[in-house]
Amino acid sequence: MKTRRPPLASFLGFELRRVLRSPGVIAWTLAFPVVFYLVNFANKTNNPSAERWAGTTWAVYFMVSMCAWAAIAAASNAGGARLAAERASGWTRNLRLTPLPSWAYAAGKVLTGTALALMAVLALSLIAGSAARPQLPASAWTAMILACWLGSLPFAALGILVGLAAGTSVAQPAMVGTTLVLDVLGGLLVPLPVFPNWLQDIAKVLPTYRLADLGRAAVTRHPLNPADMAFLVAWTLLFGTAAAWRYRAGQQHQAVL
Amino acid sequence: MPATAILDVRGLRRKFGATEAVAGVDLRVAAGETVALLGPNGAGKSTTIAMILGLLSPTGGQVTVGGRTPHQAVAAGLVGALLQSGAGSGLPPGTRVGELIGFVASLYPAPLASPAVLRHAGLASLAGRRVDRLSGGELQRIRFALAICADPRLLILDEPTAGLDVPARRSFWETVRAFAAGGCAVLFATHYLAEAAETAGRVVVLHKGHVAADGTVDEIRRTVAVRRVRFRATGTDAGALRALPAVQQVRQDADEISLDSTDADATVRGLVRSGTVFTDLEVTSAGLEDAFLALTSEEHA
Repeated sequence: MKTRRPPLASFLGFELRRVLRSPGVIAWTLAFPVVFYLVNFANKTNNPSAERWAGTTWAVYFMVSMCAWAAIAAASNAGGARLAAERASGWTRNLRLTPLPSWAYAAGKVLTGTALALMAVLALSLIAGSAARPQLPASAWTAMILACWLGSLPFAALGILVGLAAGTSVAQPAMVGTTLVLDVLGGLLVPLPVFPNWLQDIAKVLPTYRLADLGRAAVTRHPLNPADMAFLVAWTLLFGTAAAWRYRAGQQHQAVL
Repeated sequence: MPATAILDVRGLRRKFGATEAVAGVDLRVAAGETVALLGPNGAGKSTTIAMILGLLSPTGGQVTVGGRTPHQAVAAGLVGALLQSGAGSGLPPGTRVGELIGFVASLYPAPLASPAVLRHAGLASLAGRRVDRLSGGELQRIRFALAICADPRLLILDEPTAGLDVPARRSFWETVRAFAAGGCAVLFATHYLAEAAETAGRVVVLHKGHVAADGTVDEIRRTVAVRRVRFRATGTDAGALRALPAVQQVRQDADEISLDSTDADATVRGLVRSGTVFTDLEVTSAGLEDAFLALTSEEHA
């Protein structure tokens, strides 16, 4: 007789296997940032002016941006279109007929998203790192990877919110659209100094900017900015509370066929 | 009712806005018993089932499953359910059959072993297949497999054969009966009266949120006083037949005539007196379907 695994561990293992088999997830979270990095990296290194970006080279600056991108895309996959599809198919309701508690379901989704974010950041660091060869000590690498990983938490919460609030037909565009707007405005695709001042002010409120800023502080060996962490925690609480509220509202209006 | 009820529903009510979908339902299911829940659309079958499973909270009354609340019963693996999934499959995309069953079984305190689940559900040959590439009948077997993973004492099936073709429907019920023979009680909702008659020892008819009838198929049939008087005759007039004593309805197909009567003796005497020349006279009791229609007609609210 096997001892019973905790339901959360079972669920996490099950979810991770499923998400790693999904080609769309792998393309969006891994292939896109890697290719985008390599293309932009090649362009910029041909440029003789050795510009400095936030106290580091373009190659390193942009590597952090793409790590942040990958972490965000991966974490938001905790919910998004996948969650909307699971709700529509009746799978989440079937899970409510098992001993898996709803807190464990939510925790499993968040942990899956952040685990995928960690994998994506590690893979990107490896590829971008071997292309750019930044002279970074191991502690800076570790700090950057940890920052991108833990900073992906608000996006896991956002993914769950979108997955709970949107129907199947709109969940995918809503998720991609929301993260893309946040990515662009937060300065992940185009660096922030290019923006006009008023837009930079907006960007500095966004979780995407705060996540990348945390990562850049790590690679430039600046002290981590407490404001970055405060903003990320605040966004996590905001999205998490909204998702919990949406879940309760959905339960009360549960349509019975 | 035996003392060992696995399901005990008392005075159950549920309101949605101004309408009361379930308006005081009492229902007990004994351990190992198979009960069919019949009723037209909107009778409150699915709402009742949702409350038995703890998916929906009642606005009145109470449910106990094996002496526990619905939530406790689900957590303890006392109850398994196969619900209507509408347009969706009810299954997570991108999963293999065996993997899915292994996962769901791992959530329960004392589950059936995966090979036993696969065998009971007739899925042994499909364990390695992806759930998104299966037929309707195969998908329903997987949903059934998920419902029995817990090795439940009560199995709830909500219109489990809706949308299946006849062979799939038949083999599905064989699977259910074989599993129920192991001692698990089954409560199933259906629109197919033949399924109720073949599979259930007892039928509960719901109508407008109330229990309209509760008994064996024969008992339910007898609750309806209608008898059917059938014979062959030529040149009869429908109006004249309608005027015969106790006749409620006249059906005529060429020379085959069928009369629904609340007093078959009076109808036959009237028929003889009318001088109609008839052959092949037959008087039968109405079927379960007629009983069902009578019990759930508008006047019976």
